[in-house]
Amino acid sequence: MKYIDDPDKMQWMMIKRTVYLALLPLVSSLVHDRQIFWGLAFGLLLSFLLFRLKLLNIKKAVDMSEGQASTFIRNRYFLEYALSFAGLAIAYNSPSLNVWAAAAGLFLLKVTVLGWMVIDLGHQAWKNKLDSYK
Amino acid sequence: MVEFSTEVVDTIVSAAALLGAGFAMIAGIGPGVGQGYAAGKAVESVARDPEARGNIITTMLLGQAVAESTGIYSLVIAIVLIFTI
Repeated sequence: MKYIDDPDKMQWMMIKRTVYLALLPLVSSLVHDRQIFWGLAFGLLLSFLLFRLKLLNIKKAVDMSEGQASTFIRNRYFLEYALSFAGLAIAYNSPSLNVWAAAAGLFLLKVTVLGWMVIDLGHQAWKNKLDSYK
Repeated sequence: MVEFSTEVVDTIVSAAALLGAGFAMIAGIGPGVGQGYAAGKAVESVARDPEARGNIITTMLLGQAVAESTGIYSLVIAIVLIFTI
């Protein structure tokens, strides 16, 4: 797996892949409905910022003791959860943002991570199969 | 048969929706507990093999990002229940 030893590079790569994946819905919504475009962009931005925050929290937690890290990550998760709630509530109450598009933007990063893992798993299995014939 | 006025029915529906939103938010607790446990185990792993630090952090980051999804599903359901009623 590429960049498995470097979390920062891996995170940057995941963000870039998510942007590539979101390009088609972003452009089509820009042409069709501005509310969906801004909702999607808002959700994506929120998910990228939360993803970055998660990496910074994990890096900090790894240097703590086991119990402290466990409590720290749990508390930070609930803070991130509250931030997601605030973001969705803002998207719901704002007339220029579509709440479903914002939720889709929040999920797109997770879909990218999962999809990329499945592709990587398939690639690895294919490579192993080819190697076994050599 | 007991008949309720429209206001009473509306109140019952609102109360049920808010109760449902509260129950939906319970789903957000699971990922938090799981992520905390994973972080504890990651610390243990880094202490055992400091050279694998980057690998462990990356795996934990991607795992936690995906684990969060179920919490956000419940969040969306709760938002819809709270704001549409």
